[in-house]
Amino acid sequence: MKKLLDFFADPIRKVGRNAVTDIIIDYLDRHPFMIAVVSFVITAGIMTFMVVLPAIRG
Amino acid sequence: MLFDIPVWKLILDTYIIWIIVFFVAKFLVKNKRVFNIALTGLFVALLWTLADRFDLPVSGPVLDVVMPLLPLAVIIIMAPDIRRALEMYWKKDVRKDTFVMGNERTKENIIDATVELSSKKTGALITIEKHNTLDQYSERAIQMNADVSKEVLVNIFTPLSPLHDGAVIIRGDRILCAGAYFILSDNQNFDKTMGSRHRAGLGISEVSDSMTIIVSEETGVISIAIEGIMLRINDKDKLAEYLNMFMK
Repeated sequence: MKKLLDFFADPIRKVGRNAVTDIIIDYLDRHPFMIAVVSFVITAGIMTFMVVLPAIRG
Repeated sequence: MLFDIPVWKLILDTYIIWIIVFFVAKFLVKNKRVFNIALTGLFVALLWTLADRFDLPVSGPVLDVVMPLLPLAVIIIMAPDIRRALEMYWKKDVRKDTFVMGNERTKENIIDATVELSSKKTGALITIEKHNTLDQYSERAIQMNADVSKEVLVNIFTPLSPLHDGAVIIRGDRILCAGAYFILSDNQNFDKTMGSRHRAGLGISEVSDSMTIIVSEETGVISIAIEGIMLRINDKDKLAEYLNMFMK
């Protein structure tokens, strides 16, 4: 409950600095190949939203 | 033809977007401070989407005004980091992707030097680099590129010597530079009795994943700054313990 209250008291800081983001950054920094993989997944998402979905919807 | 677009165009488009996303992702991972700013921007964008989706009467129009300015603000804030990333992108990365931390001898030399400086009440600031490069600080300092040794470290911080006032940056087993100046921390909770050396050590720990050892000139007390936290070290064993954890 206290953590939740802390989050709502200062959400931007909590989102910007927490252990999960630190772990992700640390992992990606140690595994450069994974940056390429993650980038490809993000690219696939962008292409899906901007090309595939509009084409399917017509 | 796929979705009324030639396949080659789709492939080229995907490739170009991939390159851009990859560059941005690599830039964010290498610059932790910028990563936090980017996350903040993403959070504000999420709020904007929510306000827009639910057609909120006040936050919607306010964020409609703020959001177009956000990319410009981010570019202005990040300008030095962006310029540096673009410069470094075409340079040989001196730190390489597989970085190396110092060996046992380096650790012992750092500990011995710190203890001696502490016993003599000689102020010292020793920063050990990890993943985030500290090139932007070392380039403006006095280049050393010397092996880490107790004698060199003690000599650098000897009062009245030209290099004693700034920080030493250690990369792996080498002293990269001496006389480096860091941006001071503006942490409001910081103990007001501590001087600018401690504030500088805390400042660099806030913007990078380095560890900084600080020896107080007044009391000889050893402190370490890591991840924006300052810890007071009581004895040599405790310092060795933290160094072993950090440099593994």
